[in-house]
Amino acid sequence: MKLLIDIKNFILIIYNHRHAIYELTKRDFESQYKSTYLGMIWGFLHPVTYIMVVLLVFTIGLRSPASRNGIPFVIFLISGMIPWQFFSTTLSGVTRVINSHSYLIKKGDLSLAILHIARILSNLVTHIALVIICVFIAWAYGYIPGIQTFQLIYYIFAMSVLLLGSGWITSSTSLFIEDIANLVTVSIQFGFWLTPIIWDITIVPTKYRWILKLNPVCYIIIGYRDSLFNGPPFWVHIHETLYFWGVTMIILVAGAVIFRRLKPHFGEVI
Amino acid sequence: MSNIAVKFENVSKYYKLYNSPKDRLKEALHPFGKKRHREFYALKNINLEVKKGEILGIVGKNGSGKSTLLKIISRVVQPNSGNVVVNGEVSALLELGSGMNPDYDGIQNILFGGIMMGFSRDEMNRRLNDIIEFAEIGDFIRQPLKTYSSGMKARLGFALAVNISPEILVVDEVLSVGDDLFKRKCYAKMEDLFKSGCTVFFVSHSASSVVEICSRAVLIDEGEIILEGSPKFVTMNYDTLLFGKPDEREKLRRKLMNLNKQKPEETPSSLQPVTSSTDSPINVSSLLGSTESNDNSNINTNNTCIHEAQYLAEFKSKSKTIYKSANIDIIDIRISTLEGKIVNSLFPNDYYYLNYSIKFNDELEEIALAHVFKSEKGAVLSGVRYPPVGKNLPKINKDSLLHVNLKFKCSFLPGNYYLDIGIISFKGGEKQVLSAEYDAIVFKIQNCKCLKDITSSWAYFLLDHEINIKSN
Repeated sequence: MKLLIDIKNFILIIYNHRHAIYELTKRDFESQYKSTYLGMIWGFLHPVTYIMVVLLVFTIGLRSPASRNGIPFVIFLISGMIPWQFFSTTLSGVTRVINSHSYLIKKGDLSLAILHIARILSNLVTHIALVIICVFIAWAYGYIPGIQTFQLIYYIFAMSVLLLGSGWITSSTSLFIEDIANLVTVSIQFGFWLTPIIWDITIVPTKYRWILKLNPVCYIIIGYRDSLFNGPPFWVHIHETLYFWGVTMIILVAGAVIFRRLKPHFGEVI
Repeated sequence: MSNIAVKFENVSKYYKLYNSPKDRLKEALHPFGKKRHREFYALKNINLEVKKGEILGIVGKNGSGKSTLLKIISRVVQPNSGNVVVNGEVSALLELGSGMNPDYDGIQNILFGGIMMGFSRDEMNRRLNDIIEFAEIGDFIRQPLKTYSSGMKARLGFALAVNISPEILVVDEVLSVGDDLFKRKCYAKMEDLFKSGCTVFFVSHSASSVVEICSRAVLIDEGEIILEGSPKFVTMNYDTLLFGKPDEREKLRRKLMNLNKQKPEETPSSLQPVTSSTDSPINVSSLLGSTESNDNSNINTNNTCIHEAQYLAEFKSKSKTIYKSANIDIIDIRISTLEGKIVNSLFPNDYYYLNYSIKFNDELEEIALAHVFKSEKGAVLSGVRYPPVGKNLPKINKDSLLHVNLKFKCSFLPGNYYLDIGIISFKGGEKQVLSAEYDAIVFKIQNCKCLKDITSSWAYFLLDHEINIKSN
């Protein structure tokens, strides 16, 4: 019951601060590209070059096979890298979001929880543009967009909720224990290789796959590929879907509790 | 309930001090580990009740807990124990440039600050012009905040804080970097706000501005409210505490706290900020236990200006410079009341003596004495020469001692003043300074009710005036 009231209050806070969220998002987005000559192009250049490098290393350097599970390696890689890039940059961004807005702490009682939402939203702008490009590339390879493509909206939402909960935890605890921020960076490095991004989950023997699926990001990456390459809809993976939302809700609630508990002390450590 | 803006009940706040960051981590990770921090109490058992529409002045030394109190009101930090009730939207100006992004320009900061406080963009656009006009920082409004001077930051911050119609305004000592013109404007604005029912918390080290704009004041020392009352009463006692001898501080403090307890319930003069008529001039000298004995016959009689100059032991000229080209010593410089009590905290309109002695170790002739009164910043305000121009003192023998007594009417306005004393030779028609003490003595002029019609608090001289207005 108390949880329901909290959820209602939080939605109210978001509604009351919609101007602030919009403004924060806009500024966040602008500030990433302000004072650069190429401006927003960097938002695309960065993931594209990264994907290119990985592509070159694997196709030319390591001579890996030209397709994964029947999907050409190029789009297989793109479809995994784009969500992963969004996840990793946003996670490290939200971890530092309190620090980078520390000047607001001295302003008094503000709803700092909305900073995370704004950061996720501002990163979503580039991400959604990249996802649309991705859909067209897949189309060029013969994967005609259909009703299943709209599942991407669901997966983007799912990833954003996961990021919000994780961000509340990491941003608030890292103020007190700075090592958390480093831990996040290291986990992201590991995560890139432990999540089926450049390799397909089918190369792992069936009886060990559940270990990989403990990683909630794994669900997202597989989901993106299903949506792009005419795979099964998300309700087919009923266990995975339930597991993902279970974990995400635990993270979200824990994040809300930790954030609220620690918030009164922010003023003392910043 | 409804007319209380802020209420503190037994509020304490301590900061955990760690010897090293490692200790903080150890304590945080080890659930049953021993305590590794020291507790520094910034506030101890604060009880305070502020009604809507009061301007509360908060005075106290650096590090006494004033800022922590304001931070608790604006919810930047949380108390460790006790209850805090804050009714109303708080607009806080805690530090220079607080709540502002150094990379945004002035306009962006105004809009962004307002929007973060829950205003819509349209609403902020409507108020934008007022704020820019109030801040008066010219073209800099379009420059990033990091290029601002501290005065400009204070201007922008204050302009924003007061123009979003706050219910509670919290102003820490940030206005002190503003120029006098701007300060005046801010005080006027605060009075406007408070007339419209806004509660203001104002921290200042300037006793005169507290007296001028606040309706009530509290004195905080070592985390405790040790005195509460009319601004004049509080600032006057703050001075005695600040400049009191270190070994007597504790005694003085206890006396003030007792005084605070005994004080009859004052009716908060919430609608008359400056002229609080309930001002009960208490006899401060009785608090200064160890100063010279004096007759405590000055009991309060109604509204006449009865005041007693005091001696603040720690209030001494720190910039005293002695110049000597002849073997002369100026000794024993002091200011005293007509009754002979040595003082350095005077009141306007009263007469005082300046006394000192000159010891001549050599024979001298054709000399004169010069006395120069200066403002705190060194502006020469007045001077007295003895004997008058054209005459000089007769020949003075070796080893003679001269006692000088200068009686003067204290026509200065509240503030600190310095005195130079010099001995000048005119031998051979050539002026030469034989001996001089610059900033030889410092004295303070207290504020007083009889100064109510003085318009500028940055003026020096008290005009002997009388004003009459006739209508046809």
